Amino acid sequence: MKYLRVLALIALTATLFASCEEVMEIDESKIESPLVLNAMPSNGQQMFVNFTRTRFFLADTYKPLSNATISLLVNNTPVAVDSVSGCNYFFGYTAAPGDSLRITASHNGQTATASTYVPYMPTLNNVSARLDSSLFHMVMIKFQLADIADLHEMYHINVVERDSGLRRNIMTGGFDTIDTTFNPYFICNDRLITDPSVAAFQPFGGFFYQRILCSDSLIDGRNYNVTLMVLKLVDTTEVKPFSHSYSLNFESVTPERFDYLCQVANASNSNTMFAEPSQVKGNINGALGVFAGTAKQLIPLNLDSTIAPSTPPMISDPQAVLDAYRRLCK
Amino acid sequence: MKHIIKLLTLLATLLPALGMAQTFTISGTITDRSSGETLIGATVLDTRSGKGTVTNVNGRYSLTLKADSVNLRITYIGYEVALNNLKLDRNTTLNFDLKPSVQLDEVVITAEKPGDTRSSQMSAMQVTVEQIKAVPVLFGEADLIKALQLMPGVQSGSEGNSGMYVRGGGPDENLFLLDGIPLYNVNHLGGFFSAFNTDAVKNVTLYKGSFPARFGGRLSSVLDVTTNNGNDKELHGNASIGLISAKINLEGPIIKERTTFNVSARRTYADLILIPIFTKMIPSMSNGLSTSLTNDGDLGAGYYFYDLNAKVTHKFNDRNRLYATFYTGLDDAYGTVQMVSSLMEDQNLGFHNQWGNLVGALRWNYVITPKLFFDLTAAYTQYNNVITGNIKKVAQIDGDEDISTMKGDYNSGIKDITLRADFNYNPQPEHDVRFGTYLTRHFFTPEVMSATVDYIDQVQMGSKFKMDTTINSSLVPATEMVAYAEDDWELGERVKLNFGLHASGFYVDDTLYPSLQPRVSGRVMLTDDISVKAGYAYMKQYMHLLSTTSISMPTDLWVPVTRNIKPMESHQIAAGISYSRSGIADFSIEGYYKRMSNLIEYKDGASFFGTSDGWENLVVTGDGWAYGIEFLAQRNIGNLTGWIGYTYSRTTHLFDRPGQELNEGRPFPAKYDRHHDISIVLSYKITSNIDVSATWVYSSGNAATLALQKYPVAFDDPEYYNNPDLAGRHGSLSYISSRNNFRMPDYHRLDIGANFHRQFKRKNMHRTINVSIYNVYNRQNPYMIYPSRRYQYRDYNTALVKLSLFPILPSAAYTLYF
Repeated sequence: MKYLRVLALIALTATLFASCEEVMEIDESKIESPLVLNAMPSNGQQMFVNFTRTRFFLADTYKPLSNATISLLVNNTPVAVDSVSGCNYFFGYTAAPGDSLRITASHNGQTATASTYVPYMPTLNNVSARLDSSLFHMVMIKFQLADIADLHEMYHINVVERDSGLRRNIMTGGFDTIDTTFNPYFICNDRLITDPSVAAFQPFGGFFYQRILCSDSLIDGRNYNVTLMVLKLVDTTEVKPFSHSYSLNFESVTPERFDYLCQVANASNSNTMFAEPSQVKGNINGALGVFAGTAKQLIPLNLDSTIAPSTPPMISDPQAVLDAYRRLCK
Repeated sequence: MKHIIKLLTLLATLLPALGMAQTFTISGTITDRSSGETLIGATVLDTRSGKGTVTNVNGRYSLTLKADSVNLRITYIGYEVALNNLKLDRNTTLNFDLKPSVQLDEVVITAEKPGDTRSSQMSAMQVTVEQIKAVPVLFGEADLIKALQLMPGVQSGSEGNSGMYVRGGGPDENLFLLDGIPLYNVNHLGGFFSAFNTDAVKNVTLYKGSFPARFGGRLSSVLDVTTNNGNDKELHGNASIGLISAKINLEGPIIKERTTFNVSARRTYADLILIPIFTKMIPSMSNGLSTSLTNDGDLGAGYYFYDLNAKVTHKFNDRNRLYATFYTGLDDAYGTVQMVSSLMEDQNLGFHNQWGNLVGALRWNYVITPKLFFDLTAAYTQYNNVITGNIKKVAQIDGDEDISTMKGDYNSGIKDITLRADFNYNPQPEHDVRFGTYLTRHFFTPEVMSATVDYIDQVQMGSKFKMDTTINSSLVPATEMVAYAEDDWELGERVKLNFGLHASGFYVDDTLYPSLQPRVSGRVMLTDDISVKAGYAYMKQYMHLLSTTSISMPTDLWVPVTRNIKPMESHQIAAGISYSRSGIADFSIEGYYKRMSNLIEYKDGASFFGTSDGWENLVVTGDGWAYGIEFLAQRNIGNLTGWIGYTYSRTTHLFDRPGQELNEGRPFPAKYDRHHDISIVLSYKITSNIDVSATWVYSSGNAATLALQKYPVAFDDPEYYNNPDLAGRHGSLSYISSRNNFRMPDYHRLDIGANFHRQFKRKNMHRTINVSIYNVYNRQNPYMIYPSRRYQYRDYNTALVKLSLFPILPSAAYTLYF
């Protein structure tokens, strides 16, 4: 009788609060589909442009545009399209620092234009990395960042797995300066940002930061020892083998790339029911997307594999975990 | 302002002298014979001269007439007419107690209510408690605001929500007054129920435009709710039990015909029902961990709300009355869970979210002269939202027990202290003058967050981490000063004018915002049944509600204007025609145009969750305009009563100020822009014991911002664009063609209800059983629309999903009157 009463209450409550979800049909043919142009000429890499139109949000892929035309001017000299693969248009041009670029793309009477340049690539010195242990299992990365006089510097920093190319979470970062009251994260547009692809997986935004984006207002006139803590062990139910092959991706970016990354971060962070939707504008006239130069430096990080075993003790043996951590802390 | 008051007083004093004949004043109070309750808006008419007046909020009237024979006729809807013939040769006090009428259809209704054909007030409506209770509603819980949402010009936010959107205004642009004191949060349960307990309510008037000068501080509407004083003859009450809540109302004399009380209390009890269900369900939700409810007397999880209205009225004599009003309401959502992990750790997780209002007011009503009434009010009102979370972790390491605690508090709210003086002066039947002043000291606490951590990390060999910090703790004080004067002036038999001035100043952050707001409305009687009306109102609003979503959340924050964010303003003009066919129905049609400026909207991507600090940087200011036409046909007497309302409206926002652009500086429809609203509310009395009612509503879809297009994030590796996981699904950005670019599906719903009354043999005891069905034909109305990966749509794994909240919902309530 008691269970019947509980069942009745559950049934009643379920009926009362039952919400209903229903898939909606939308006529996608009535929705406009603007041009999209994306290109990030990067030092030492063959230049390519991704040119397409927006897709209906329920579709999976972007369609190549037939009869599209693209022209590129490098330092006012035309460069021809070398090959086309899907929506990607490859040029016979390898980006070099200091080059000035202008692109024009057309499709069905609509035209997109934009300009950018390939920025200077500073050298990053004294990068060191080691395994570290605290509450979470970390890789600690340190390097020196020095101001270059008369240069408006903008940097984009992240850490990738060398084999897979996947980004790793930068859990926290520190900018060690003489001025202890100086906090780099609250200056102008400098910010730690979440990765847009991760935010798409996590509706309420990522807990861990994925990139560091800083502008000249942070760098100008100062030299830093930068410390990055990269999370290694994120899954509490499954212990993954340690990977010792990481790379630090250090990029010098143009203002348009900087603004674009800020807007992408803003759009990703607003992907919640508590925020207004955000639109990424980019710098293309007549189209969505971005045309922004970048200069990359991929620095391999050599971790000392003798510090920790390649496979940590299983979490079902807490004493062994504790002993391992205690050894690491020494 | 002093000079204005002096001038008005002088004018009012001299006006009677302009008449050549000697005049005398009849004044008094009109009450319900059975309960002694004062009646607001009852008409007192001298049928010989045609002069008349209506009772004010205290049930008092004052009528100055020439010395002559007077035939007084006192009328009030639902009451029998009272007549009194006298020879007026001195100032006279006449109190009337009207007898409630059984046969409404035989009574000639001539009472003047705001918004009626004969009233100078337009864009206003008075709703009776009987009308509210006649409307079949969700879970059988009669709700004042939901009844008002069925009136033209008033829209609801979304399914089941008691948020109010009046003539293109946002939900924070409505002033909710409970016995003249503002209520800041009128929502229970995320807006599904309002804070007004209908058992405590005596009179409700909603102003949508042409606001009288005595009101101010909000752009779009004023809801003026007066509560019952209480029966001054004998103890009465009612107790009600419904599907989700129980209510009790008690009223009676403390000292017979001198001191009365009225107490109403309401509480939901879903949490009590759900205890056994949560007890059974939570262990199975632990996902492999051993989880259970705590056994220390706390409930596992639950939600409830309650509210308590209390009012004590003391009548010292015919000239002096004292009113004490108290209201408190609280919503409480809570959860407590104990978890045991495999690392030999016990964790107690606790969560509490409480929000609610507290109102206390003391009002002294004094008759200075038979023509001049005075009210002095001291009031306190507060709204608070408190969220508390705590974690207690007990770890067993090497035989030692380490205890870690983490506690976080989030607090936001507003407190007001008000002192106000109001005068009501009736020098002649042609004039009903009101003037007054008030001073309010506001204390805003947009957000205070504190955290206390005492953490022991076993991994780091017992290293400790302690923290005790408070952020955003600043209290923002502000002072609001107001003075007003208005006159309801009858210029001959056909023309009546209500004009006034509302002067206000708001001092915050070393900045003063002064304002002079003229108000005027008037009517011309074309025939005895038809009047033409027009009005203008200039309004200013000094505070904003920062909302995180379109639904009413307790986390919405009240913030004042600042040095940078200017007060919102609106200019509204309205015109209409009203036709009243006595004994049949009232018809009105009104058009309005409202121009708004300094509106605030959130910047693209801005989120207000936990970021009130520096909120000015997250908003932009702009302008807007709204226009519409409203039609109402209403029948209040006879066995068949109800109304049919239709509204056509458009609301547009334009944010094009440099650096403040939204939607690239182009106009866009407001979130609550809805073009068509129809409501049909009918109630039919089959017998004296049975009445039935039905409501049908239709509205075209709300505007919403929805990204229907995607485009790729820029990659520097061409392979990324060909990777469907990256470019196709997760590496894409949303493209929104414009703000509020999408229209939700139309909304319509039919509700029906029936009341079965029965008189018991015991005197004055009867019961009512209410049975109602919400959403009779089970229409899946949209509550929200969102992309969901759980549904298959064509060949893809994401679909646009419409969430409907309430299917067909039967409910029942039992009320015992004694």
